[in-house]
Order: sequence, then C-alpha cells, then structure tokens
Amino acid sequence: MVFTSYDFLVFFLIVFILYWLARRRQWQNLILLAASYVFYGWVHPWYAVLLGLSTLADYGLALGLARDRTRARRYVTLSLLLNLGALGLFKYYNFFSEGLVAALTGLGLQADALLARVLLPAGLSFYTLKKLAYILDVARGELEPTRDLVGFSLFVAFFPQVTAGPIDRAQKLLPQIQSERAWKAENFYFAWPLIVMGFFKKVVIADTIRVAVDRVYSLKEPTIFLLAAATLGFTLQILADFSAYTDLARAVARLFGFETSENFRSPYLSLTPTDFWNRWHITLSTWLRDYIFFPLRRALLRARWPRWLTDAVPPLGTMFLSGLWHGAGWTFAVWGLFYGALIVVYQAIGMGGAWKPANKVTQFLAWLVMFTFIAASFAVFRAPTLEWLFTVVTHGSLTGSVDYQTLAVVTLSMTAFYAAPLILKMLMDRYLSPASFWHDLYYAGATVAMLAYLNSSSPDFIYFQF
Amino acid sequence: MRSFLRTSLLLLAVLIALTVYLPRRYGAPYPAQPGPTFDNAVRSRVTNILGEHHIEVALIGDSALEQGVDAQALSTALGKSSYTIAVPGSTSAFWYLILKNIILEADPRPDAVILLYRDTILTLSDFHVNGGYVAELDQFATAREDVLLERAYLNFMNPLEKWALAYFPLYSSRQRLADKADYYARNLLPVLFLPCKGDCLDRAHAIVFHVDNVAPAFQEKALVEEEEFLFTPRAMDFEGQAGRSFLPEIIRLARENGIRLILAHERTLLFPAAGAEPKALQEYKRALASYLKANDVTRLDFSYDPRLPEDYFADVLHMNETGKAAFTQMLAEALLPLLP
Repeated sequence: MVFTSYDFLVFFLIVFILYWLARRRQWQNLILLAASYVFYGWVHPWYAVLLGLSTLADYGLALGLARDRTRARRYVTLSLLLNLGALGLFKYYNFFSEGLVAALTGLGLQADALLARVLLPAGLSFYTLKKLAYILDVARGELEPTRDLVGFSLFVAFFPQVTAGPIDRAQKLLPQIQSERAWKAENFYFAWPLIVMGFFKKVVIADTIRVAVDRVYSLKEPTIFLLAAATLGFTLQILADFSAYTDLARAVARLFGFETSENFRSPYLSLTPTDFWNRWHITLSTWLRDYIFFPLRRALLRARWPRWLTDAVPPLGTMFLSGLWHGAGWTFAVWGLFYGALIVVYQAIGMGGAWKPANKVTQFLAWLVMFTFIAASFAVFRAPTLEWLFTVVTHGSLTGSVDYQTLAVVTLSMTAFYAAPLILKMLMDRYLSPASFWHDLYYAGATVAMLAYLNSSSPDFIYFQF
Repeated sequence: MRSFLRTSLLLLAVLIALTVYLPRRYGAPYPAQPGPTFDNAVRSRVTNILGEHHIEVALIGDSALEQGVDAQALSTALGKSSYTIAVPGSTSAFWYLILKNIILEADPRPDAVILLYRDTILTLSDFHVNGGYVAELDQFATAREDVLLERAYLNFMNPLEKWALAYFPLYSSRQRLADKADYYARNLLPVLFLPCKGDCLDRAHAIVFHVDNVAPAFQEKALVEEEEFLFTPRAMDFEGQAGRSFLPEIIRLARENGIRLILAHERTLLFPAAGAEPKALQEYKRALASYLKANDVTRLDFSYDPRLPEDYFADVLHMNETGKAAFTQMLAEALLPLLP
C-alpha cells in the first residue's frame, strides 16, 4: 500500500479512529500491529508471513541470548545467518533468477521471470537492519530484550516505517510503544506540514521529473550533455521522492503519537562526503557507522594493521556494503565504493569529518565540488549498467546534434523549474521565522499544486525497491 | 494552530476562486461529468476506406496486429479484401469504439471482424485508457459514449474521486493545469538560450526519443512491465471482469449487425508454455472459451502454436518479417473454412 493512494487513505482513517478510541496502550498496540500486517501484506500476503516468522525468530533469539550470555556468539551468528541469509537470498534473487529459469527450463521444468519477480518483498532491507540492530545491541549489553511480543513485533512491523524506513532503533521506538499515549493536538500540528510537503514532493516534483529522467536513461547512447542534464534531474528526483516518503512516514507515525527520526538535513548542501552521509538517509548512515564502520575500525586497530589501512579499509568496506544494501548490481557496488574512496581521499587531504571552511569562497568551492561528486555518483546509481555508462562517457558525443542539445536544455529547464520550490523552502526555513505568513502561503500553494498534479495511480516510492 | 488556520483559510480562498474561475476558463459545466470528455470528431478515413474498397474482412488489434499480419497477403490467401485497423497500444476500449464508430458506420460494412487479442486484455476495460490514451481514444469516440465512460472509467473510480471530479474543478481540470505547468517547465530555459520553443521542442523530443534510439533491453523491460497489468489477480478473474467489460458489447454489436466476429488469441513469448502460465490465467482462459462458445463466437488460439518459434519474434509481443509472413498464412488457413 502506498501512502499516496486512496486505499491508504481509507485504511488510515479506519486505523486512526479505532486506535484513538481504544484508550488502553495494549489495545492500541494490538490495533497498530494488526494494521501493520494488513498494510505490509496488502499486495502479497506472504510478505506478512515472512515478516512474522522472522520477527518471531529474532524475538526468541534475543531472549535466549539474554538468558545464556555464554552462548551469545552462537545466538548472534544464528540471527545474522537468518537475517542476512533472507536478505541475501531475496536481494540477489534477480541476479540469479534468470540463470535459475534457464536451469529449470533445461531440466524440463517450466519457469518464467514474470512469476519469479513477485517473490521480492518490499521493505525487507529496512526491517532486517532494525532487527539486526536490536540483536547486536542486546548482545553488547546495551539493551535489555523485551518480553513483550506484541511490542517487539510492532517495533519491527510499524507500518509507517516498514517499507522504507526511517530505520529507528529499539532504544527510540520500544519505550514509546511501551508507554501510554493520549491524543494531543500538537501531534496534528507537527504532522500536517510534513503531509503537505510529502505529497507535494512526491506528486508534483518526483513523479514529474521521473518521466524526463527515465527517458534519457532508456536511450541507447545519450550525449554527455543530455546525460548530465538527466542526472541532475535524477539528483532532484531521488531526494524529492525519498524525503517525501520520510516526511509522510514521520507524519503518520506522529498522528499515532510516535516520534520517529529525521532522515534528511539538506544533504545537497554538504561540503564533504562525511558531511553528506551525516545528512543523507541519516538512519542508514548511523546504522552503518555503529554496526560496521566502528567495529571494523576497532578490529583493525586491535590487529595492529598499518595506519593507512585502518583509515582506508573501514570507509571503503562500509560504503561498499552500503552500495550492496541498495541493490544487487555493479552500479550499486561502484556507487558505494566511490563514496568510500571519496571519504578516504577527503580524510587524507585534511577534509575529514571535523573540517570547517576558512571563508565563504572556500565554502562555496567545497560545496560545488561536493555537489558535482554527488550528482556524478547518482549517474552511476541510476545507470542501467556500468558498461552503458562507460560507453556513453568514453565514446559518446559531448553535445550531439541540435535536437540532443535542445533536449538537454529542456531537461535542465524542467529540473530547474521543479527544484525551485525546494530551494525556496530551504531559504524560507533558513531565513524566516517558523511563524511567518510566507510559510502558510507556501503550504497553501503546495497543496493546490499537489491537487493539480494528483493522479489516481502514482508510482511507488523509489526506496521501496531497496 | 495559528499557522494551520491561516494556511486553511488561504487554501479555502484559493479553492473557491479556482472553483469559480476554472469552469469558466475551460467552458466546463458545474458540476462536471466524471470521466474524460470527448469531442464529436471520429477519424473517418478508415470508415471511408472500408466502404470505398468494399472491405469484406476487417482486422482489429494493437501493434501486434500491425507487425503480425500482412493485410495484402491475407487478402490474396483468403480471396477476400481485408484491411487491418491496428492502433498501437490499443485495448478493448479502443476495439469497442472502432467496431461501433468505424466499422458499423462503413457502407457497405465488412462481413467479418477478426479481433486479435492476448490473455486477459478483452475483459480488462481500464487498460490503456488514461493519460495520453485519452487523446487517442478521442479519435474514435463521439461526444456521447456512456458505455465507454461507465466501463473504462466510472467503474474504477472511488467515491471520493467521483465527487472530486464533479464538484472540484481544480481536480477535474488537473490534466490541463499540469500540462500548462509542464509547458512552462520545459520552456523556461529554452526561451532564454534557444531560438526554438513549442513545436521545435516537440520535434527534438520525437527525434531523440524515437524508438530506434531506445535501448532494446529497456523496450523489452517496459513491455513486460506493462503486460504485468494483464496478470494481476483482478485481471485474471473472468467472472468478476467479463460483465463489466466491453466484451459483451462487442459481441452484441457484431451479432445485431450481422457481422461474423472471430477472436484470435495471438502468440506471445510472455510464458514459455501453457503449463507455465499462472493457474488463475489458465482458469481465466477456460472460462473465456466457455463464454465465447455459449455466445456462439468463434475463437482461434495461436497462443503457443509451435509453427511460430521464438526466432519469428522481434520482442516478446511483436513478430519480425518472417513471423509476419508465417502468421498471415496460418491465419488465412484458419479463417478460410470459417468465412462464407
């Protein structure tokens, strides 16, 4: 079920009313849990079965781990095998499904890709990371495992987050799940601007620019200028799409009385790659930092690896895994490695995490360079294959015929047109008081634009596929 | 709270202004009729051809018909004049309109209509009827198409959407408004930096995104993704869809006007064999066959015909020249005993 669909509107209204009518926390949790499973299993009910089974497994493993600390490593290994096994199997299914179909056909069995594709559950990557963080925190002694099965299941399946995050930790969500919640008007006042912006960014910006971007990336050989224009379009699209989802997820969670994490803080204003990952998909970045980067770095330091290796391997390894988390394919792996390499280089030249620009000119230049890197990385991320991108960049024409130049200018034009409202909002947030009349005018305008662009069947959010 | 109230008041003011302004601007009635509006102009070229050339066999279908049947070769093989009305991307809504507004308007009318279809497309009445397809449909629709509106649009609208379309001009005019905004978005920089806008941009668009420039893998992927709509649980529920589809109307129109209707299931490469089809699709096909038999409509099935191997295809749906020649011959052989 997509937040921007009519189905969701009806679903939400029913759940919202039932939830606040049930004043006891236990009933509220049960209602939310049932709603989360309906939401998640709406298209393919077996998704919900998989979610339920994996939740039960981790619930039991965490309790077992806490009961018998001497076997902690065994429990953690089992959980890692289960979670990463499921993630690996489904994530890489497409990678080998073609081979599987060919093999089955060769054996005289019938199989086809149309059926095989249905098997990939949305949101698996997100709830797997949630559960892994829980198990690892319990193993480290940083978290007491909960005996509340409904609460734990709700933490994993919480419907505003289950398909595309934010990847909130148990330490943040479980205490909220286990405490009393009463309706407060502030919940609504917090949620409505997020709802307006979420719909506006998804319906008006992301879904519109997507059409122009997809067309260019479907060409056999676009010119470099046209590709650059479409890549800027994609840079806008992915931020608008993903931050729209996060806005809606946070707003919906808040309407049920839950505070969830922010996932974006103006990422395209970053000055360094570390800065970028502190602002982009923040809950994933902190997960990767806490459960991969730091443990890996500590392990290498303990093993007394040379300094340059302890500096280089953790960012490269972490970002490589981040790439693979996004998808099975060389484009994602190279995208991750690109950021790993950038972090290493920036650190080597003294522009690591704590770097601050000396003056405005340096700040502008650092921003320009970093923004170019961000956009270039999204060319790799969006490319159908690395080979395609390599051919376009190395053998493609720079500007091509007048028609190609015209189309590139049109694509840039669309990107500028649809980026303008986001830039305006960012400036308003920065320079105007939150109580300013201009904010209200902006939200009213955004709502009108959203209604004008509304389509009964809007496409899924991009991050559902990860 | 203050902020919310101020925004709500501003929004209300804008909505009231637009509710007054937009119906006047676009000359639309208030409340409006839900669903798209069509003009009275119907593409008459084909009707004239059918009449002037005394076409005896008319074939209707989409691009698979265009690339799968050679009308001239078919005419020769049948010994009857035949004509293909192939509209790329067309579906049952188009075929219903073509039968009603093109074929039945011809004088003389063809004796037989062969409708080339695949899988669940005959009963999926909301497939390819929105977005850019509305303008395409308009070429075959008259101003009053109650059956089309009901079966392709109203049946699939939720109550909120119906209400919004009738009483909320901002929503019912959204396509026009979005097109206008899109026009400004596309022309913002070209008017500053290029000597062309409007048609000039459209020409560049048509040249750059011509099908020959699109990566074959992308075309194939796009085709398969589009076809997945035919295999949703709803699409494969024959009992649930048939009564609300255009199929009963197509059969009725043909029968009442003395036209022999023959439905031919085309060959595709979506599934390697009949056994690989989803169970629901197999059941659908059985139900469709019974329904057609009960209504005395002849059905030809080429869906897994071994005489049309994979190398006769350009992609999963469309045949190449070799396939076209072979299928035309096969179709002729199948039609010969059926046509008077």
